[in-house]
Amino acid sequence: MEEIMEKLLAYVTKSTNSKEIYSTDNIFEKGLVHSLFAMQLILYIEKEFDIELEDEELDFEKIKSVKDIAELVYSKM
Amino acid sequence: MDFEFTKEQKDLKKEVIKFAKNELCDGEHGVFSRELWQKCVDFGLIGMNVPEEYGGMGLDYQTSAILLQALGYACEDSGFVFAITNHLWVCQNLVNELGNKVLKDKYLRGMTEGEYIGCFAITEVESGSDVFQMQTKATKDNDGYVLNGSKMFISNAPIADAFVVIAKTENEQGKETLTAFFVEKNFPGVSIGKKISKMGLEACPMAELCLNNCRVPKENIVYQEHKGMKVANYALQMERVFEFASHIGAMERQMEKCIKYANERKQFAKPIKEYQSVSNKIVDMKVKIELAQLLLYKIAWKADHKKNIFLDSSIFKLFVSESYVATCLDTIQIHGAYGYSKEYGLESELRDSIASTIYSGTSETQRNIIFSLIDII
Repeated sequence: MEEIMEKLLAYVTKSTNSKEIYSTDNIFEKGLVHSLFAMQLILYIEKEFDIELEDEELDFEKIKSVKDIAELVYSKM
Repeated sequence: MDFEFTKEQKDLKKEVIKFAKNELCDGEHGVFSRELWQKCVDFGLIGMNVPEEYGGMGLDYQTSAILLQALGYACEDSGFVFAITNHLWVCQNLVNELGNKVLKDKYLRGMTEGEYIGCFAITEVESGSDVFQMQTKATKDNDGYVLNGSKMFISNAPIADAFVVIAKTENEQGKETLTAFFVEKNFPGVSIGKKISKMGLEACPMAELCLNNCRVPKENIVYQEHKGMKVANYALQMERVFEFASHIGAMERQMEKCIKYANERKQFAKPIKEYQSVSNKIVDMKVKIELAQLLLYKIAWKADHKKNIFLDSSIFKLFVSESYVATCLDTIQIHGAYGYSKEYGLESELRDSIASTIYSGTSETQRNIIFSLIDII
């Protein structure tokens, strides 16, 4: 779980050009994401963690932080 | 993945080709015909992937892709085909796949039965692929929204009865969001600007859509409030696949014309097909068609299995549109002066094909999207 979180944190930090993001930050409220981010994130997760996600699984109403995303990935592995 | 056609798919494909050749060649080329539209409704084409309970055929995406390719092959007026695919994939399918039951019950049957021709309104004068630059705003008003703004280059607008409009909204936290609305032409405040003259696809007319204090009931929100970006992304990815499926059929038709002409046309006592500079062009067409088909069937399979197709749809759109233009240019080149003359209609197909590298995101935008989606390491 920790390893997943670290990888995701590094990816989100890099892809949103942020200086520092905490695992519990609401990355949507912070205005960090752009229109392609959701698609990039899905493709990154599928490639990095070798799992398949359906569009509906990444419901950004429920999944708002890197911690939430890590928990979803962990549950799929 | 299994792309082997079933007997039903083979039969339906034959039926579509027969129907389009017999029924859709009567109209004046380049002029939209409501009568031909109704024939497509009666045949079942307009409701191909809509559930039977709403008057459709309930076909899956794989079969829909096959039928759209067949339609593009047999109907020589690409503008008319574009009017159909535009209605299907960026309006009707949004109601079908993302609409709630109230919205479906209100509009879906009317769309499959020819009462409503639809289109998608997202582009504005200053905002294309950069959608958050849009100026059209929807302000909350009791149990609905009031829309103000104008949308530009809207395909089907002059013939449409309904529009899926993407507008800026504000959520409870005061954050700027997008929301999609289903707007009827007859709603007060809706007006259509002058028809925009363009170089091709004339049977799919284009105009500006103006919204002036247009009140839309809350029940006409497509999908959910503040989720317009999802609707837009979904519309664009489906459009990039299923509208472009018909272009593969158009390429097949052009290739067949080239083979026929290269067999009949003789220069220096032999058919021009015997010159490799001619036959190689036809071979390149075949390679493009085969690769495009493989991509199409793979993506349709993924769509049927609810898998993500965002990256695939951009790759497919880019490849098909650029292949289509290249095929049209080579078709004219093989036909020489006949190809350049208006009489053979090949020049109009070239003009039509150029639009495919522009609408639904230009080739340049597709390359930007593809790179941003593979630059994830």
